[in-house]
Amino acid sequence: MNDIDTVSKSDAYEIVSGDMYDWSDLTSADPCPRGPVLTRVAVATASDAAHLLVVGPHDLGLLDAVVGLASRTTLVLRTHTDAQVVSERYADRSVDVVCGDLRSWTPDQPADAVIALDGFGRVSSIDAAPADWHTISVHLARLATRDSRLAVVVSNPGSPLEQLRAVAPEASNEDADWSFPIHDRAHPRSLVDASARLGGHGYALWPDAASPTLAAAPDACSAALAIAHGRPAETTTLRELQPALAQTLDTLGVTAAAGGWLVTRGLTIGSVLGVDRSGNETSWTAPDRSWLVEAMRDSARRDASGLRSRVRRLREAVESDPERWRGLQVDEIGLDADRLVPVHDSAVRLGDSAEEILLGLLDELAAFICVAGWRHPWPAGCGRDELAVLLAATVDTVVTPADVRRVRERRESALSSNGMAPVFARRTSPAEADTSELRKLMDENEALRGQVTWFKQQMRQRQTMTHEVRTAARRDVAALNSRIKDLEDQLSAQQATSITRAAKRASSVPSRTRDRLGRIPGARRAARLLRRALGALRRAVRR
Amino acid sequence: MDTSNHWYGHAHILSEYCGLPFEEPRPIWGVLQHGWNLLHGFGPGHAPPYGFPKFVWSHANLRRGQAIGWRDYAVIGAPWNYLLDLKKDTEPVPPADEREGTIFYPFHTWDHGQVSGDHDRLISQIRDTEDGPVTVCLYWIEYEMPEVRRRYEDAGFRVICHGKRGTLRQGTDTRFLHKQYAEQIRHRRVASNRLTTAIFYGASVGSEVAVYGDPMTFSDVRDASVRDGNEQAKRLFPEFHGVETDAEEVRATTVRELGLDAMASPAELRALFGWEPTG
Repeated sequence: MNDIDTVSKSDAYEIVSGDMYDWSDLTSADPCPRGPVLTRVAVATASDAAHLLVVGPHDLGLLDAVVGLASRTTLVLRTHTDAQVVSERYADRSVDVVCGDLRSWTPDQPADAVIALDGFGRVSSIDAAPADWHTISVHLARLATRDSRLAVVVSNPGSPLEQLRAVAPEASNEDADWSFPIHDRAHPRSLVDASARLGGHGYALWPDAASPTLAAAPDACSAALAIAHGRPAETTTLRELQPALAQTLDTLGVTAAAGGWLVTRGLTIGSVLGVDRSGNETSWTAPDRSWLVEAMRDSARRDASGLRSRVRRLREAVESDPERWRGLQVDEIGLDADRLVPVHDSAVRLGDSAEEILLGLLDELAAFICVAGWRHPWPAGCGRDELAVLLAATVDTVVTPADVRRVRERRESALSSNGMAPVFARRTSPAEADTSELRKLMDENEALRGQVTWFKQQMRQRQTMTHEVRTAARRDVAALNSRIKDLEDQLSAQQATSITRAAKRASSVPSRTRDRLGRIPGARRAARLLRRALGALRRAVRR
Repeated sequence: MDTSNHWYGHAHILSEYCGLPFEEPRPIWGVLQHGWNLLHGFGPGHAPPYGFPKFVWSHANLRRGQAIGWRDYAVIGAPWNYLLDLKKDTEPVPPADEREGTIFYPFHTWDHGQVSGDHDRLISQIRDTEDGPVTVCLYWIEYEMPEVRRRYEDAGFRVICHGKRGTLRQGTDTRFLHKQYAEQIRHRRVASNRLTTAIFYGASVGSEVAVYGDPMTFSDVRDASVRDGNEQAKRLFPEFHGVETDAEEVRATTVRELGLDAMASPAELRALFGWEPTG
């Protein structure tokens, strides 16, 4: 730690107050901003700038892309280790490196382009008084010209993905560990808030803020896009994540659930910036387009036949050009006006024949639907294997669960040999059962209880309700209806005194009927009608 | 399983379609819709048991059911559709010029109620409307009521009955739909005094269809859907009502209501019905 409050200068970089020793943000477990989407934003910000200011740690690959684009570049980092690394890396470039707390530094020339893609979490020293987000943003505004270009990432601690990342492997039992820590109340509460404070345009970042594969303006960020980009690169399975993510998307919307937010000012980038798994820019960005997995999930919530039409289309597509579909996983299939479209090319061979490719894709679909909440407590489609069999059956393809498992193993082996992970990892031990699976089991249990009750009713009905009994009951009900009609006719033809007599006579009908007909079906109803007629009679008499 | 699955030989037809024996269908793990209706696929008072799948004819049935909170639907189309598939080679629908006359289905009673209406007036309306030979198909209850049956016979109509639907698997005419198919494909027109299942069946085999005449009603009205069903049917399906109807419109609606576009493959039916092990 530098104990000199005044500005000092090392040979390679400038040191200001708040500099940190024995620490590196570039190599810490918390990754630095990187990836093609953020790089493109950074390049757009830096290009042709007179003075580019890069605040906080950034991945060296991203820095490589922007250094040299502006006439002059200043990198502000808080640790000596990082300052050393970047000053050596860009020793022969017009790059100034500053080491210390951002708040301690004042430029000799205001920046006309500012990049802060790591947010403001790592721009101040851990030894200085903590600064809130607003204070840092105000300070940053002083370092730049009024009309400077700007690209700032704002973290979204409410994102399910962030929450997942924050979960410790073992939860503490100490009360103190569950209390609210001191937190930054100035942190923007929403993308709208962040955009307003920085005077820029907002983008939702998916799946996370550090290496998003999608940056989309709120109006252009559909749930389909969010889901398609909702898989962090290091997460091999959506099993734990997907239910929470889907629920957040449904309740909060895609912007509030985003892994992070980006605010830009003065940049000319489209409303959607996305890359596919291989890092190439994806063309699948139109908000009105959808994804097969999403459509199947919606169909599965309604009925089995909705699945049928999609599977038919998938079979037709695969059979018409197996080569095109050979390397795709199921979350890489788009829907454009009900037409299935592979969203990128892949050289990986995940299957040989069209049948094998189709079955592999159906197996992944089944896994996705099971994760997304499929509940059909009937023999068909109880689990992933069985649902894959059912999906294949919708196109009249007869396979067994063993066939499904065999194809899955081959597919996973092919993925593994190419350094890829299956989009839906299988459960390896029963201990991994999550809450969604438990809920499904409880639903099935409830359904089975209902079935048992129904069978008992059926057994009782079979013993008592023969055809003859029903016919007899129908006859008796008709006789009672006829009797009521006669009674009403008589009543309408009589005077008040006669009505009284008729009423007395009628009052004994229900009891006599009960005695005669006992528990014959329909008798109770007829008796009710009689009582109503009797009430009407009494009212008429009173009038 | 639910004994109504066997009515009209539905389970038998589906069994044959799936490549299994016609005579002894296995229990279907769920409840089949047994007739066209304006409800959720099942009659008023017929609450399918919770936890079992409901196999309905059309997405309209599914939507109505889901609107009242029912779940576990699967749209598979009417069993009639599968009979058409089975018959397409062995007993295809003959060309229109080989078909003649009208088969008329008067609105019928059922095991738990009675129909009130003027049969003589209906006979007069049929006679005034139809110019060819008329076959009147009575439900088995009316067919066994001499006073009703004789009126149609005395009017010069050929009077038939497709059979009994059966109760608790007793007395089911498993060839009910086969007989209905055989009759419908030999007639040029299919008519009724209410929009009923038979009208949709007629439209599916290319017959002209018509709904006219005294619609009659149940004398022991218990449910609003039954009491007001005819008015609702007129509002929702005007294309079927009248002496002359537009064949194209009728056909489009029939495809939707019978689920002719929602049929499942034999393998899918076997899986859905629990007719083959999936584990």
